[in-house]
Amino acid sequence: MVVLTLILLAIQTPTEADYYAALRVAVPKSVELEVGGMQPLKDGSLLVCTRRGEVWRISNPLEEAPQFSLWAHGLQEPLGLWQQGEWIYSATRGELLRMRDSNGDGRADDFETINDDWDISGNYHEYNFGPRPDAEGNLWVTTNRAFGAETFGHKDWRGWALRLKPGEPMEPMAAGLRSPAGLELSPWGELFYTDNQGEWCGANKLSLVKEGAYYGHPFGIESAHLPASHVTYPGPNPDGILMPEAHTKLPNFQLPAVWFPYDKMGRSASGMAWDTSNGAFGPFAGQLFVGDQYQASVMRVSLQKVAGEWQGACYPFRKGLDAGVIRVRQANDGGLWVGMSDRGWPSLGTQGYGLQKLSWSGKLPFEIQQMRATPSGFTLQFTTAVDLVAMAASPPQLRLSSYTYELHSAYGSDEMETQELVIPEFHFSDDGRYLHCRVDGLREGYVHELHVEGLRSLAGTTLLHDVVYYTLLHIPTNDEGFGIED
Amino acid sequence: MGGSLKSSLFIGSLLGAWALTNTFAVAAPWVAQAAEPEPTILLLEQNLCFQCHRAPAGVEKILRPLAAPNLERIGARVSPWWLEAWLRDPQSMRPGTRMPHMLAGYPANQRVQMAADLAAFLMENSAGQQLQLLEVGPDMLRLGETLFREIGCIACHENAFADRKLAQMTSVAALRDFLLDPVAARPSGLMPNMHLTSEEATQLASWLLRSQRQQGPGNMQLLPGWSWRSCAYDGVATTGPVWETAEFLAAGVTTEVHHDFGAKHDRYGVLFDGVLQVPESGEYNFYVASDDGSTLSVDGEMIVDARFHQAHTRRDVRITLTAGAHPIRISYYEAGGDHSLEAGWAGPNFEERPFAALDVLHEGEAFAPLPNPSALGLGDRVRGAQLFKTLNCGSCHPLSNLEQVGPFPAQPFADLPSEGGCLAARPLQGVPYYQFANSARSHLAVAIANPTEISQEFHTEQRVATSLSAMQCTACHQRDGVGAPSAEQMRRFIGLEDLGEEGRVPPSLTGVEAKLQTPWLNKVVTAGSKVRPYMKTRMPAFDAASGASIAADLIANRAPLSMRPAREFDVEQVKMGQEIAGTQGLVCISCHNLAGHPSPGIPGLDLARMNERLEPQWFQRWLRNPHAMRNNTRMPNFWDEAGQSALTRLGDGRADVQIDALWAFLSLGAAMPLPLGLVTNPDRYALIPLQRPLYFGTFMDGLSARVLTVGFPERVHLAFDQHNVRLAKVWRGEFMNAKGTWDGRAGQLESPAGVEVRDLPAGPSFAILSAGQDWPTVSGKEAGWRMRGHRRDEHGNPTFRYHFGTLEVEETLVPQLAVQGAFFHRKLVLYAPEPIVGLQFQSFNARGETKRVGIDFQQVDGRFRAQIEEELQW
Repeated sequence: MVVLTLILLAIQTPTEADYYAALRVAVPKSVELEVGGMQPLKDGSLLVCTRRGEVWRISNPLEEAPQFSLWAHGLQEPLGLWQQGEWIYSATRGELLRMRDSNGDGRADDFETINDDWDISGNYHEYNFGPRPDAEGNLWVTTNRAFGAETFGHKDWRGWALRLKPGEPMEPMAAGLRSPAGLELSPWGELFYTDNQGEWCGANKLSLVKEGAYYGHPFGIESAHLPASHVTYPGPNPDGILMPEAHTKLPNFQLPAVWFPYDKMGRSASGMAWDTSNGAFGPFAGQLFVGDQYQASVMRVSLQKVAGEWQGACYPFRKGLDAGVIRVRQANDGGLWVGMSDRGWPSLGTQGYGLQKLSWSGKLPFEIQQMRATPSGFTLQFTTAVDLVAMAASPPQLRLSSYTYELHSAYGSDEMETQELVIPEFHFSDDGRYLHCRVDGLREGYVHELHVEGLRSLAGTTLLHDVVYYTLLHIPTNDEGFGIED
Repeated sequence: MGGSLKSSLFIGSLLGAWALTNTFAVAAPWVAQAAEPEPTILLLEQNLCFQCHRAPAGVEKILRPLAAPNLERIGARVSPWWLEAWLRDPQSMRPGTRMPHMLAGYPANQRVQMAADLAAFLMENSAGQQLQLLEVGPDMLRLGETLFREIGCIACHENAFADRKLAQMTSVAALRDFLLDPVAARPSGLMPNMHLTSEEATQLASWLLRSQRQQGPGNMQLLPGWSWRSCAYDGVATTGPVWETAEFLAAGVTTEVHHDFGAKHDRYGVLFDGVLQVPESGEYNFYVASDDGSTLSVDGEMIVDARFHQAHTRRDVRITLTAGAHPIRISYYEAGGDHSLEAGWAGPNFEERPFAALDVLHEGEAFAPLPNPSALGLGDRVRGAQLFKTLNCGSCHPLSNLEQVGPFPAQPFADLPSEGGCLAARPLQGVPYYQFANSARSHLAVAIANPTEISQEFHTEQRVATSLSAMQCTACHQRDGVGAPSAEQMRRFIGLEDLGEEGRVPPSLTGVEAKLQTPWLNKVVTAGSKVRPYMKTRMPAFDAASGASIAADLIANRAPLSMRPAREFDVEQVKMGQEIAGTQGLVCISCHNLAGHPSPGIPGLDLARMNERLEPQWFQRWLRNPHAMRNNTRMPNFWDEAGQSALTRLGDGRADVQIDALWAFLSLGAAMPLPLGLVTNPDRYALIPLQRPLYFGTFMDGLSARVLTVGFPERVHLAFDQHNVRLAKVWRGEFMNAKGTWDGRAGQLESPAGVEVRDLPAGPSFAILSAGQDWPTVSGKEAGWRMRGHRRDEHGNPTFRYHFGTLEVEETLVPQLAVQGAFFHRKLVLYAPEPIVGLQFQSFNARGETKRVGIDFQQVDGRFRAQIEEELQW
């Protein structure tokens, strides 16, 4: 009898794919779809730009033989698409440009330079990402730092977030970015960006883009001395101080809203998309999905505003995609387009490049819907009710630890000052949807890593993912409730 | 340690008291002798009679004397014991050689010592030159044998000389060097250059000397460099590959440590093994720098462990080592992305350096010349030098450091008796002994008796036949029925089966002087020819002198041909030709490559090479009826007897119109536009504009990091430098290869893939200058010029838009076909709110000269407009 139960449980162990299928777009053999950006069009087709400088228009992408037509080509490493009316905007190496098909023959024929106030040195790593609009409709682009030879001479404004208004000079708004592969406008009108672990960047991170902010990488910080800069020169970086300390010592140093602990949550955070589908993509409406190139995965993030600053948690969501994920973008039907290319960087994906769509099966996964900080600890919200009877008989095991990172010149950072935390008390809400934890020893500026084991839903399933990483910048002074609108 | 080891790598220390001498055999070594009697002039030329005997008047000017082997560096080519044996009796060493027996007239017991003395002298004379040994890799013999059978060696060297005498004579390294440049050692040019790569020459030499290997296991010895092997790696485990079980990729030997041994970009590992040669006891600093992981072990102990997925990172370690040999191993693996590996050391008495060839040794197999037990090996070089003079060896083998006795040491030819001397049936002391056949002896006797008859001019065709036979052309080619290979010989020629005999048997030379243009004919014989990629047999390159004389003989034999007058160049004709060549025409490309692009069917002769090779008259006749000119050719007869083809849509199907159109198309050579239906993606990074212009944005060498290149089907291309806001380069042929921009992390500086690349002058196209002022060389942002973008018209042609303040410029480039290849029609339209006084345009012409042109503005719709058009030729 016991044996039989175990077998049944084993059979019931759900997988990510049971809830979110990854549908593969059949890319013709002649196309190397190294995705750099995606733009769904009203008619259901999808524009995809590639690292090879092409823009493909893909009609009926999920049919057996989708139609690929070359809408534009010859762009220099475009890494983003954004539509405004008949114009498609793209950040390329040397310029933010826009293009359109003025005669309706299916090919872009008019290419306009919107802004090219920055120069590039001819280094492969000088990628530019975007554009994305802010709440006022200005376009933003983030710039990557160079690595190695700068053939045509060192150039300004690398590692910056630039605001580009048509017809006006570029406005360099924020500095100290390293490899800012993702840039996205939140539904409430603020811009966020993702950055990659490396020197001066202890782990992958998600940060609010803020005028005048310094994100810690000094590669391009000398440009802050130039008149156009909106950033005050912060002085030289101290080499080897803890991040919370850097926050207090470096002027305008901006801590991330979310750290993605290295290897636990990918190795190279990339593009992102907010779920604005109101449930068409499952139970995570209003949350953020972030790609990872190394892990060929999509991660999930929930945010919480505390003391005027964004902080939040990241969760595993969907692994096993075809190639390193560069871009995610919500489709018109609520599904999530996943654009991939891992050329030049190792990835657990096996296909090199490709295009997939994550589609919700309609089945509700048993997940930690979100983790929120409270004045006394944390509250977990679940997507579906927990079996309170079973939990009373066999309570779950909660393991909590916290750590931070160091700001230093070496590549990446170990987890520093790690402590195991005690959870002296926890209890479930009556409806089984919430778990309230009291925690001793919360530390502001630290990542709090929580493992939840032995939890069972009413339907008898275990958690699909039993770990969450919460970046606690501030301990709330009062319980602010749930919901993204705050 | 290093010193003694180094010397053991060379045969020098083995030589002992050996002195030196001669080289590869004289004249046509190993060549089957022609059965027919040779013309007397050939006998005289090939036996070098006129090196010792002054030629009779009138003969000199028609002589094509052969040169004997160059003995200056003989020591680098042959072993002393072989040389000694050779001098004792050349004919017994190599039957048929034209080297006379110089010692035959002396008593046998003296001959042995004389040969040893001469050898001692010649070896000594090439001081510093010694046979070098070379390692022979595992596949060398097999590859060498394949080459021998495929590229045409066997056509002249019938018996494939698996010859112990050759194995005594030379080493793999020396034979390799000889094969790479045979004329340097044998100026007669009879052994032509077979276009071997150094690798191929090593393979051939290894196979020819394969009997050196059968000497036994003693060939294993320490040789320079590392042995390496690479294997596949999953790219995940940070400890790197599991070397014992990983999938094997490749192995070999290298003197340099670097990353590129995996035959792939990502997910591989390489192990380097060797024995470190530590010159003296003391402290040594080692470094290894890699992306991704690496380790370094000395004496089995891992002293650097950098098994990380990392960017290029260097690690150093200092250890104390005793003088002598220490096993050393470097492991390296690459997961993905960038890759690099560097390693080296510094010691008590040397600065840091990457590991050099003799720092690390490994055990390998080297071939060495077989010994000759009968060699005396005790020659006297002083006596040898005297003998060299006495025997007049220098008449045929001049040595730069040896005084000549005189230009003609023997009696003038005209004064010779018609018997005795060189013609004597028995050898005489001090006289070369030729062992002439009786027929040859009587021919020569007649020539001596009537020297004026020698100088009678050949009939041109006779001269051609003689030249072709003398240079062994007829071993592969037939001409007018002479030299037709036997069925057995025919089977030796290897090529593409689909093309039948045309695909493998070297072409007939009957009427070749009417077919090929003079410059091409010269090029074929002096540089070889590689226009038939499907044929394995190689057309060799003859030395300049013999090549030129073969070509001259052929050209002298050329009869004038009548032809239709050539038509004026006309774009419509080119386009018609392009259509005829493609899939909607007569589909020439189904059997012909074109401008380096493979045919979708059979890789026949490249159509882009026709124009530089063929006489137009011959082309007309050939196309009109190929079968009449070459029986059994695969080339179809496209036009019927009335001169009508099935392709009536173009030129009414008329042969003269269509053939002329094809010739007009072919006349563009490599600049021809590509017809429909070619295979155009042999290289996944080659960018080939076929139907419409192709745009490619990239970093470009010498320009900037923001260059938009545009390639056109007309096979002219341009680069617009968007950073410097100017048209910067134009070129022809191939467009671009995107590997540096699309492969791996890329970011390389690209350059045009084509030919005739012209740089336009730096600086903006427009300026306001006072008299005598130089044109500015700075453009772009720095000078106030900014991009607006570009437009592409319905055909895809670009209009670049840029401005200087309120002056707006639109620059349009459209390719135009022309007889020397296409050029660009360039149109610049300017708009300004006011006319700009003194504004000038810098024009660029075919000779790369610039010219300044004034600009007139006209008022149009409330603003001012000016327009400039020019033909951008180069």
